[in-house]
Amino acid sequence: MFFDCLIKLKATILTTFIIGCCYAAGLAQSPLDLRVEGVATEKPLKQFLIDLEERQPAKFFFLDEWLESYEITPSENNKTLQEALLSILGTEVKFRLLFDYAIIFYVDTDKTLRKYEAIENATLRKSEIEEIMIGRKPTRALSKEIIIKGVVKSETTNAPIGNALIQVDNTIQVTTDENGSYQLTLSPGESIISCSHTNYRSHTIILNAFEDGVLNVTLDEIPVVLQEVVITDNLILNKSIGLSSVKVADLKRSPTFLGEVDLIKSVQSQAGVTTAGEVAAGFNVRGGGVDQNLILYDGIPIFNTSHALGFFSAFNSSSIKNVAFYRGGIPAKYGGRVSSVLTIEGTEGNRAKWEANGSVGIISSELTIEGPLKKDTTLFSASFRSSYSDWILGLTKSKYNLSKSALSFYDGSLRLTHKPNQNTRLVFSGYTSYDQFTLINDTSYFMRNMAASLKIDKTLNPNLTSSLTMGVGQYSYVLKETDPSNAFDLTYDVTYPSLNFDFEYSRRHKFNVGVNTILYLFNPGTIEPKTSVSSIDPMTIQRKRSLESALYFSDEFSLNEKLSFEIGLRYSLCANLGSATVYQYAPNLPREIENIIDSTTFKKNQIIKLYHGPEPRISVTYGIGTNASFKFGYQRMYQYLHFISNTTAASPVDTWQSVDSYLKPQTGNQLSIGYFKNQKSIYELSVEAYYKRINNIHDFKDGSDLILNKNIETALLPGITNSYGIEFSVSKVKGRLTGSGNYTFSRSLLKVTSDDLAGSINDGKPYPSNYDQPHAVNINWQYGISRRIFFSGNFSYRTGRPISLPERIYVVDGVPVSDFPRRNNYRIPDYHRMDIALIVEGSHKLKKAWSGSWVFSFYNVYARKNAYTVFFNNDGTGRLQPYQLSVIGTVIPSVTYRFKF
Amino acid sequence: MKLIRTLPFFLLMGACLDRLDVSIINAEPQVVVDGMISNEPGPYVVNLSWSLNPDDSLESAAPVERAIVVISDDVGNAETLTENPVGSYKTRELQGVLGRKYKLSITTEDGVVYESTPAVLQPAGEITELYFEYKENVLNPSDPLLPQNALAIYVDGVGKVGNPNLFRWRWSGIFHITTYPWLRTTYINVNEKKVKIPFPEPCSGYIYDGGELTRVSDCTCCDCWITQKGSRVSLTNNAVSDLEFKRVQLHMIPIDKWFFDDKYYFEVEQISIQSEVYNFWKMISIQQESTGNIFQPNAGYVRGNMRCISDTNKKVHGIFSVSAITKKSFFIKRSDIPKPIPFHSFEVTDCADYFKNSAYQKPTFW
Repeated sequence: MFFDCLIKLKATILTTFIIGCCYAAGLAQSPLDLRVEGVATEKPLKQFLIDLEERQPAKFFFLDEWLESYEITPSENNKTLQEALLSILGTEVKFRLLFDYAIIFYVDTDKTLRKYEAIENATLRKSEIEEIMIGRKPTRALSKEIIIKGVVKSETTNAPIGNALIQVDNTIQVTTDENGSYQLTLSPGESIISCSHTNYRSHTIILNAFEDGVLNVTLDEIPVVLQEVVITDNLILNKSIGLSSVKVADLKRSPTFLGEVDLIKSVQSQAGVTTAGEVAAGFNVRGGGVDQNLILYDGIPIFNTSHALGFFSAFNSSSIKNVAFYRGGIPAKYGGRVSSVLTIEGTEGNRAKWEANGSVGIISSELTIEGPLKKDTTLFSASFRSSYSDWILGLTKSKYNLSKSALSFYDGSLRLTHKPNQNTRLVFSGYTSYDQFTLINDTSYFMRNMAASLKIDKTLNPNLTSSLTMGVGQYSYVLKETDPSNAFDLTYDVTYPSLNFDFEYSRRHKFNVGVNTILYLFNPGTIEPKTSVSSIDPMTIQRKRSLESALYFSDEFSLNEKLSFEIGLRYSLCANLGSATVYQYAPNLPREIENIIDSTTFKKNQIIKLYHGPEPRISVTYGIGTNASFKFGYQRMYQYLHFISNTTAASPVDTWQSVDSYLKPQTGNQLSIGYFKNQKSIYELSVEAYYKRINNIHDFKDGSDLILNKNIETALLPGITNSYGIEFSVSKVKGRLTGSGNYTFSRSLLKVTSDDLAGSINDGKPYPSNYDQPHAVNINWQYGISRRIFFSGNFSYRTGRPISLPERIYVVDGVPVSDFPRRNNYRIPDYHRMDIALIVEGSHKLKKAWSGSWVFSFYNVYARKNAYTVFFNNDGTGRLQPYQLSVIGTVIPSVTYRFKF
Repeated sequence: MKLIRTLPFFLLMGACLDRLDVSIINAEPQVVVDGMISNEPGPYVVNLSWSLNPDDSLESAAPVERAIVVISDDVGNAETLTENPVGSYKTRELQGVLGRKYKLSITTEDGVVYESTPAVLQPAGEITELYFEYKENVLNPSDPLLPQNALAIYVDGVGKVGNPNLFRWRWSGIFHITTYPWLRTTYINVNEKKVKIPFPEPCSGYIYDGGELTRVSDCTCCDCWITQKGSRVSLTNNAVSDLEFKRVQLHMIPIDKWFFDDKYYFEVEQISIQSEVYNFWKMISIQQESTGNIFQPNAGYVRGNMRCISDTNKKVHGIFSVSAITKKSFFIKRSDIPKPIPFHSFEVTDCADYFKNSAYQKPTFW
């Protein structure tokens, strides 16, 4: 239809030109310079122009519908025609003078084409299309842009949907926040708004908006019972570089390890993210340590993200609503870690009815129950997962005596949401995870995370919201040795109450200002003998406390259609507080216990050492055409906690330490630059490069004792990490076959120098950090065999991580010695693995009491023996022989049944 | 602290342990120094050898020959050591004295000069107690055919006030075995039949001439005294205490039928060392303690107290230890073990066939 109109218009113009040319030469004044005269009352613009044509040697070309709503008023008298037309039409309808007599009216064809494309797309996707009008169409153009706000909700549960994607005329993309809210700045007039989320049917709205207004959208749920968290990039117009929004979504159809859906593994498959071992705990982002990732569960930091030393994620994906992962462009509201931020928001619960879903797997089972305690006011959601693997150990026949071994874990979450009125929301959230394993030699490990928070969200006026979060978290472990002759309990814990106050004001600019503060109370280690004959002496390392606070401000805005910014500043400080005794070491001598020359005692809450500094953040997005953008980001981050470890695999007894007189805060500066392209909305491509430098990272001194070390500063050496890399990603987001792939080249080099010989590592020369894995490839795919049967898989490859190996051996006084000349001088074999899965889902009928699905998964399908860790065994003569432990040495099949009722 | 020996849970996943396949390491050999001067009477020995590749046999180290090796002190004494046998350099007259500072200088045949950090000979303190405890099921959990029980040997030591009191303990053990080599037999063919006849070891003092077994002299290979040396490094933990050291476990003697045939002699030396040498042994002890542990700490560079003076880029390994030594010893009798142990099997060959470091000579204190 639109093309028909254009052709008609074109024909009219051509014929008129031929006639018009005949007397054009005689014209002295341009018709646009004519003065508007004699407009006595409001009059349709179209009529005015027709009248003018009769009186003046001018011709006007337009389609009736373009001008029909516009009127000319007496206020335009004495203006030139050009001035009058500009003030009436604004930018909606444009005009141009041709041959000094013809004025051609036209609308932005690109924009119109995009609108039609959006409608066409919506029709193809069988998306619901709705027409909505906000305000009355004015008689003259509105000069300012208008703001449309709203909330996206689920039709079935009435719960807000976070991370829903809103597209305008097939270009501008925004995503809804955790409360389902979004805001758009639009030109007045017609826009095609399409709203989508992977778990829901998309919804398209032809919006005619002429004033600020509210547009709430409800989406129909697609009845899929599988739950998995999938991370996808909204590449093109995300405000920040390096942000992946993570969706609890339909690509839940991917292979699992022993049937356990894993959030952390989804993070690990992102470009720029690696992991040190087969199932190592945590993840490394752009050459950073596992400790440099801030993981927030409902706003509270979580220290241990895994169960069973990294086999499973400590977060039950059924209880997760939204996840966002930032590896660059980190907003100013987040701080305290130098590499990345992963925010996890618990599920709120079904607003409309009570429901339960769960799964039964071979290692664990889980159940989530949710529903309204009071309709539309109070919601409840609880989730629990527990392992039952102990009995498997009991059944396993092996040359080791497994009967003493045990492994178990559980995690649970609870969330209560109360909405006393339209503008207030209270959320109580609780989370805990627990792990226990007992090994052959009477050593048992018990680890626990706990987090609880109360959040009060208030809408103060339509543009201003506030949020107050009070919370407390704790991470603790106990190591128990039960052999009576040296029985002991070794305990470590850190407790951290926190307070966070945040304001957000959004109109054309989205301002965010706030303050957060967190008090860390460390018990760095206590050992107690547990029997009267135990040879262990009791010992307690002095407790540490530190107060970390930050004030932040950020502004997110678009300068024009192409250029948008997110600029922020965070000023953070951390005070290491007494009571404590701080030792002074002789200057110019290695920091060793024997070089202590004095000590100072500090009283309770007295400031021992204060660190502070500004953390600027900037993200710039420049749109190139409608389907590509160029992004730039810079961030500085301070980290006031140090993770103390000297083992190759993350060990259960690694500890976290606060900054103090000797351990300075880590500071990370990262520059990143990227190009993103969307090809016909089917393919998404991106290239991103970064350079990151982190100061004051601490590597351990050769041979230092890190457990129960009263003078931990003597065991650590400060250094600098330089990381750089380039990440290529491509994904196919539509069609029967969807998937993504990425390749990253990166380096992460550490340099530890000191004036004294023993204080340098590798003679002060740069060496690869433990997570320097130059080449990494991740591929995943999903193929819909039918509407209910899917075949999916993933493949990952990484260069083997560095390791220190001996290059020589010799004997001194009858004792064989291995010479490790340089740290990280070799690499373990490269890592690669492929997993596949077949998913058979139940009927997709909306109104079903019970729906279930089966997942048949094959982990490590070609039985590659990847190294979990490398360690040395004495070969009997005293020579150290390196061995690799492959914890998964074969293909691991699993079957999981998931249900919802 | 050894935390984990194995994680059997992993076996569920078809876990396996393989020798790590790394490209063959072929590093250039470097000089290794192994020397000591003490307050005990000399001669003092400095052994010089070339380092080996990680897969080489430890016994195959080549000696560093024809080096000029000098030990000097801070009061003007210096002695050039004599090489005998190759790679082993010995003093003739020098006597270590407490409180004096000693230094080792080496000039190799190609003119490269190495020196130790000068160090003061510091007192060794005292060993206050040496004792043992019987422990059940502490050894070889994965192999029931090997001894499961052991005697844990502990030492208590004390330093001297005003001294650094960095000590290393070194132990050695001696046990006695008896065999019956004159009762050895063999088979010969007589009329196409195999016939068993006596076949005494010549050292047994017996001969067999087809008639009777005849004793012609004393047996010289029926009794052996086997010396065991500890290679596990035991050091003071001066972070806990820098004067008194309690209950330091030196060794676990497996309750083996051979070791307690008669009695077991155990001797420990408490050796004073300087911080550089202490750190050297500390690094080795970490290497040792962490083996077999999947959460083992990253091994580090083992730095000794020797430096190359002529070329600062050249690496040299090992130590020259300037140490005072104090000793304590005891016998553990078969009857000290609370549970009965079987005698070893009836062996009919040379007693030195069974263990390395066997001697036919009875120690004077036995």
